[in-house]
Amino acid sequence: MAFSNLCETLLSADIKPSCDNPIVTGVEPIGVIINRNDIDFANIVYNGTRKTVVEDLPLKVGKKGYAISIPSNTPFAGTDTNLVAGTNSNKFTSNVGFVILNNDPDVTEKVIKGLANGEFVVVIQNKYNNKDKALTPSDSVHEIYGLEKGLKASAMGNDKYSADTDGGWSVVLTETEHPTPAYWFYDTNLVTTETKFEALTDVATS
Amino acid sequence: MNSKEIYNELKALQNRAFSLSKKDREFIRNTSKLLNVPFYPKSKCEDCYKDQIIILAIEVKKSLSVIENNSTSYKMVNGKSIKWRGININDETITDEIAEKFILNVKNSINFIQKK
Repeated sequence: MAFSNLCETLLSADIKPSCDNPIVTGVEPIGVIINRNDIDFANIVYNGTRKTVVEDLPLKVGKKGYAISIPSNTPFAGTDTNLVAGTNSNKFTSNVGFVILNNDPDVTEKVIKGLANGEFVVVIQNKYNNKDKALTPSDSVHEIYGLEKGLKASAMGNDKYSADTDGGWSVVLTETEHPTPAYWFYDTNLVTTETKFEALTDVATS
Repeated sequence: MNSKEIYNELKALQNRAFSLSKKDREFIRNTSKLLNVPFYPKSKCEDCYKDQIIILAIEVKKSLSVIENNSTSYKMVNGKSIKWRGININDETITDEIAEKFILNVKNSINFIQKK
């Protein structure tokens, strides 16, 4: 009797660059941050065959996501994902870094305080757009962080003389040791996905 | 060759997509013409034929599923396949009950499921 390895994950595609759309660095300056508790997890729609592709990310009624706008040359600098060796299986730790180029009572009360103690999901837009991919063009653009365990603040600071923040706040949110390297937000094509991405900041009505 | 036979041949090709013969490639080109699916393989494009097999299989599957599943008054938008609440929903598995539950709960349901 042959025993198969439980939860076996094997390499199942060639490792090679896209010749039509060479990969590029960087992230677009607009992202969306959502309080993790506001996500209607029961009704998330995943792609039927690609289980890390989220086709619909619904929010609970009355809830909305919030835009993160970073007019910078390097928006979301510090955003990365790295392998963490584990006892039984290896996992990944992801960071989402951004700056808040603002500071006043509303910012500290409505944004900083919330970021310091909450749990979040962030959707960012990669500059890399694999637009010539057959069947699922542009599925490389919208990436979701924090879907499995949630992002929590791991570093926040306000340095009055920092050139990086112009005296505003720097924030790093971290999701530690999550099993899936990345989740993606994609439905049909870039136009449909962008419409859904923008709708994340609308108040959910049903 | 009927749709079912073409679909079965495409599924067989998927399993040997890394070692396609001249005859296999010819079948892909001819099927593309037959189904009116654009196909312009570049001379050094290794993936073009592999991708086209998937594209053709999806095209043929659409016509098959319409024939196969007459038990529901709903269908998937563009033959989509999704997973919701742990259930795989596609043109073969969709039922009135699943469709109505989905429409009731998912805000953007119109992007996934529609009336026939």
